[in-house]
Amino acid sequence: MSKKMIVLKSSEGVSFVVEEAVARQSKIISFLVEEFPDRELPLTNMTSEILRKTIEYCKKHVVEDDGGGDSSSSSSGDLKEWDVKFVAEIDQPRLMDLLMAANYLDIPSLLDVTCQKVADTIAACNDEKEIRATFNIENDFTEEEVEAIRMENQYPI
Amino acid sequence: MVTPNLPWELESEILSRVPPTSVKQLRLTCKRWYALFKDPISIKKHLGKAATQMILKNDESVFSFSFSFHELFHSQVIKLTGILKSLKDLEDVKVSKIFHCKGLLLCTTKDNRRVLWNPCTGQTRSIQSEPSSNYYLGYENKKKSGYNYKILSCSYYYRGSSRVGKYEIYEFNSDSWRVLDAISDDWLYLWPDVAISLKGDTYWLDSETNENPSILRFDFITEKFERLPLPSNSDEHNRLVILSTVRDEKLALLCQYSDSTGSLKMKIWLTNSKTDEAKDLSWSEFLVCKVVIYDMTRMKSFLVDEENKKVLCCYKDHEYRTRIYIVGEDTYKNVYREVLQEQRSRVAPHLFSYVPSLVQIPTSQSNPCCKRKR
Repeated sequence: MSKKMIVLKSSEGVSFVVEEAVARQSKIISFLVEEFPDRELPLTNMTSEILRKTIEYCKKHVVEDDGGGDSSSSSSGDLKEWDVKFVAEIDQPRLMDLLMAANYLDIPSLLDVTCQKVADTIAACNDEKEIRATFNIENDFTEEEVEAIRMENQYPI
Repeated sequence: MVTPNLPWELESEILSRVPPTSVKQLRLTCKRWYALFKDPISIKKHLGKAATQMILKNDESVFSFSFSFHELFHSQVIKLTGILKSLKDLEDVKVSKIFHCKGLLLCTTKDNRRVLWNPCTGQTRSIQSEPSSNYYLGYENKKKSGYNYKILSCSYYYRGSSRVGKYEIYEFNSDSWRVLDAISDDWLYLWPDVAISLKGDTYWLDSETNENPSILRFDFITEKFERLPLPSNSDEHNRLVILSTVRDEKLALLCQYSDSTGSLKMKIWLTNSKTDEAKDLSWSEFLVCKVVIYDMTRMKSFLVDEENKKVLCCYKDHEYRTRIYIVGEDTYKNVYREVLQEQRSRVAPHLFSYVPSLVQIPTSQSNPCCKRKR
């Protein structure tokens, strides 16, 4: 029984041949496949690297999802563990790209794990300086403004 | 963020997953995030997401720690994870009393001032107050405008030789106190130290002076006191009783008594969940333990773990050291013992649970309106 394959093309023009069931975890691709069967789908805002990662995630999840009735509870636990490892291995800038990809392709479970990972990273920062450095955020407060915010919370002596 | 085109709703989704305990840093990161945490919707999103913490007020310091009854047999000792952050910043502030209500702490400082404090955001507000009064924080839960916080003040003075009670309500909007005239002096004999807050109302045990001990409730909507019954077998709680709450849902009552054979027992009662909003309280027996705490005169707080049928009892022992015990049907385990201090305070420690939240301390709203009117 041959599986139906589709072709996804990254911003660099690299083609990825993927099982349709894998790619259909993206609601956008699922829609596009129905609208334009037998067409190569160009994903112009995704680099090959991010597309590869996204496909890796979808492959893992599709296998686990239709893996049959064998030990379903443990496999969902394993899958969770796999997700944690998956996002832990990605560096910060790529994690943000992956999050954007999950958002763009509409893959809710991937969006969920990436959002959570970013939130955990923020929570692990010791102060606002570390958050800014980690996420490359510009400090748009003046010193007086920071002082004013700090004063909001001071015990009036 | 590093991806400049991260949509606002994603940014807000991510930030809503950061526990409220980290919000202080978030607000100072950039203007966008600062604005987000001023927004009532995102505050609502955060509410209840943080894990419950335990707070221990011991002598004049306030500690927080997390504790799980499940891990009882793995980690047997409570580690106080440090003085609550804001207080550490302000080392000269010593707290002599704390009253907790829905994420906000009303503190009485050692120099007898009152400060309302959200330890999660670090926000504080000084409340004008009289040194000799007792203060309790409560709220009206209005569907449209959310929580309307108020403070009740109870004090008394002498008219000739008789004591006269004085009750006042503080409104945050106007930053002013108004006298409650309609309350009779019957309510005067409160045991002012041990009060708890449940769903916005304040509860006391009135067991000291009355022949029929009861529970006293101040309703912050009607602004009236009410008397409510204790569990029916009243022999059991004419001795020692302590009041507590379970998850801001139920009242809990701990009694220590001697049974028909003369042996001491400890019994914990809980109110039935839904009836506690009704006029009368109905009680169910939750736990009976053969073990007792002998120093109960220096115990004024306990916490209930309903699921695991255990309670956490906190008191000062005969050497005035704070101790915390886990007590269950057949459990009696010391999980915290203070090191012996040179200066020992006899004041009973105060233990309560608290869910960090971003709830804003209400600010006075009078000024902008006045300007417009002119």
